[in-house]
Amino acid sequence: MTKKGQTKSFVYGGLMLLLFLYPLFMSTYRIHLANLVLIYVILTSSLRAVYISGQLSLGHAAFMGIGAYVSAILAKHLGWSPWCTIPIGGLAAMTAGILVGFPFSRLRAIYFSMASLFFGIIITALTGVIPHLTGYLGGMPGIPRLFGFSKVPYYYFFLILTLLSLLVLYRIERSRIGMTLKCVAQSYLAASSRGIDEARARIRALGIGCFFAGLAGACYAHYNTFISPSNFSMFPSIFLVVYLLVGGTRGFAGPIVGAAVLFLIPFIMGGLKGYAPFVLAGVLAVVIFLIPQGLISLPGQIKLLMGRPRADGRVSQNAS
Amino acid sequence: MASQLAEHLLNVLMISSIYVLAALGFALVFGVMRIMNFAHGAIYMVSGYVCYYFWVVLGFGPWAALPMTMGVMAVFGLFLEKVCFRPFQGDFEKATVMAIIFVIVLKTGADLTVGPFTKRLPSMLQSVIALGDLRVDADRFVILIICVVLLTLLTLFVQKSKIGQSMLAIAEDKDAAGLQGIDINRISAFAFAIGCSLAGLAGGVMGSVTVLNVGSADSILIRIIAVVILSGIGTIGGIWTGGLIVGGLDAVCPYFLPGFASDLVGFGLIVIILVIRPKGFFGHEV
Amino acid sequence: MLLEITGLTRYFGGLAAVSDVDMSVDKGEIVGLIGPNGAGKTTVINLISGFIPPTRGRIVLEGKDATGKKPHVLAAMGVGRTFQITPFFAEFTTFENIVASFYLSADKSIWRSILATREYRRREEEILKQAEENLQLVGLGSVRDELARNLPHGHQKVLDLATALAVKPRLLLLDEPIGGMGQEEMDLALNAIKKVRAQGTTILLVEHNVPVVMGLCDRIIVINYGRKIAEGTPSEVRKNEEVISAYFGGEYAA
Repeated sequence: MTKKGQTKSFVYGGLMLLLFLYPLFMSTYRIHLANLVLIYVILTSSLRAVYISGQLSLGHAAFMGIGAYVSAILAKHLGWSPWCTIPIGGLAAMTAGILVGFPFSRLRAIYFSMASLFFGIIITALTGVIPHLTGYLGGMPGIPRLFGFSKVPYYYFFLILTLLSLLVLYRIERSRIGMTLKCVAQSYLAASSRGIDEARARIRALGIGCFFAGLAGACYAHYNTFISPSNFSMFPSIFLVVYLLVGGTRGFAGPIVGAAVLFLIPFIMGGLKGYAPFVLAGVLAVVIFLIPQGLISLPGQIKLLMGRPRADGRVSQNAS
Repeated sequence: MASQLAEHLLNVLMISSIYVLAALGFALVFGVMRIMNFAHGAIYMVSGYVCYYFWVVLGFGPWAALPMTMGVMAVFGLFLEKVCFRPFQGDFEKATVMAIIFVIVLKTGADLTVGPFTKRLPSMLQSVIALGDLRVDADRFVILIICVVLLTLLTLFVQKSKIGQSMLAIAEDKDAAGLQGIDINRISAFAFAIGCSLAGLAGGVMGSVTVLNVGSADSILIRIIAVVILSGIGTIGGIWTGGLIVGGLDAVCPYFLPGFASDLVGFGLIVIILVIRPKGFFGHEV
Repeated sequence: MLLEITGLTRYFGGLAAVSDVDMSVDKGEIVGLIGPNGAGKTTVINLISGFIPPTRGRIVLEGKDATGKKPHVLAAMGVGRTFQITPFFAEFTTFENIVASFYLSADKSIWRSILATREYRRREEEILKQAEENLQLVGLGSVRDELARNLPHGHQKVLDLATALAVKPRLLLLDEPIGGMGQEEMDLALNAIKKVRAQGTTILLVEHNVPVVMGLCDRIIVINYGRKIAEGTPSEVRKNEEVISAYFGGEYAA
């Protein structure tokens, strides 16, 4: 193995160790935060799966909601085990995504984004169809837990789920499927003249992304034991988009970094209480003005400033 | 009975015209700069409080406070365009993040300062208009008149004036407009200033009809976008129609359908329109 | 006949861009399609490759109906094409563009992709090999790892050709493959086309550069105002009066 490869393995190994040992050193509150971060990492990465096909969904949280409600209803009202209902939630969200894709993936990117704004409202409205099951606007309490009252088992479950999900999403992105999605995003003419069915590829992207969103949503439901439509409305969706864009769209790690960092900022600034969102807004402003390619481009930019070659061999900002 | 009907009709028209005001501002910015100003709803919400400040706190009364609100918001719009959105023209993604930054700032600011208190703008004219057997709330009538007058003025402005024509030109084909010598930055600044001042009027006026609250930002935003989707980009007259439809649905549906269903119907309709005719009833391709 | 077209017509509004065109291309031939500006040549290519549906007429490819089908369906049926304004995958390198264009040869199953099964890997390795061959065939080996959007115009056009070949076309449609090229680039492109032709690929070529077409093609079809006005070998067409007047407005009538 090369020296660089060795360093990388060392770093990843160390990271894994830290992640698995985390609960031993951290307070319950911090474990709780980590649980939420893990869920958001899955969510934001699932949004990326849709994004790479050229569709920016501004309503992704709605699919989180579908997963959450389906799983919660099956578990609470039919008494099924959450271990079963969580995957079902994922599949339900995936199905919804595919169904939505049929009419919408034919639309040009900007119209798709516009339509997706309404997904959240429609989910909220749909919960109203069966209020005795969902509690409608008041929310749905009493969702069966996945584990006991300790947050630690949740942590390990979410950690493993996140790692697996990221692995699958990474494989998809790097494989022929991911390549095809990226083709569709870049040029309709080139893609379709080489045999790629654009609509079908986009629907696939939606299906994949929505599956993981539904999974994450269901996990959240059985962790929080309470969900309400406001968790899945327009602004949660837009926050996912912000995490993705600010984290960086050029790399798989973008949503991971974006979700982890940006989600935690208001909590890290806990001392500031109500002023915490301002810090978040400040960070967002700094990033879009000074680090336009997103947080993951930061290491590369710093290396450039120091005159050292980046991973792609470039030493200066100019095209090679 | 007829009085009630008149009251309802007036309500629908008034709400629709307020939606149109707000939507126009959003549509102008979208048409000229190709970005969705997600902060528009928050700007509308803040305007209500600004108006309150001028009207009640400083005691200027409605007839002075409304224009002042519009002026303040117009200046704010200029600031937004120059500092925040001009660097990201055409970059939908970055502009979205920028707009979200403002939503966070404005909503949090509002939450911290006025959030816990519900404010209500006093009635403008404490009277009732009587026409034969009909009695309608003078306030709402006056608001309707104000909105319609302003909208008419604005429509004329956009369609007849050089600046307005430039806006329409840019909305249709940005590159061609640039080649014809139109100063896109200057026109964008106008679009933002006008847009925000319209939101200012809408927010201020709405405040005297209902209570001011921070949550209004979200509900108006989704309605604005629905209006813009229905009417399409690059049309002013079309926004009137879109506004009437959305305002009408908002007013009428709750009578016949339970809450969630009217949302479902209303927004489901919008979504269907998007699929069948993405460019809206009156707009052109983006 | 590999390709048979009868009565091909396409209206845009009230204007007939292509009007009642009959033509055919035999296997292994290289046929040139020429005509003055706006004659409808690119429209014909768009009609055959599915980017525009015809108003009337029939297109039959190897005995199978190919009229009005979507571009990706036609690509699977063996129609490859290049474009006047070259599209490419801007974020990919030259080589990646070619690899990406081998979609039809790839294993498209999600499960096998995620698990990277033997079947999936075998197919991808096969594609990498063939992509390398295509790259060398068209002479772009030196810019293999350049981002496609950084390539000079002529190289992009040649890349377009390489990616079109990735669909393993039975019929290759070339839309102005040497348009806007300098001499050096033109040599590169023509070289590539000749090699492709030598492999036995059937080609239908649209080009403005008449001398090049004359030298390259077995047969030439001339259209003007959307109608076919002449057909034959290069020498026949060169002497055709109607063709001459179409190009030169009657000044050089023989």
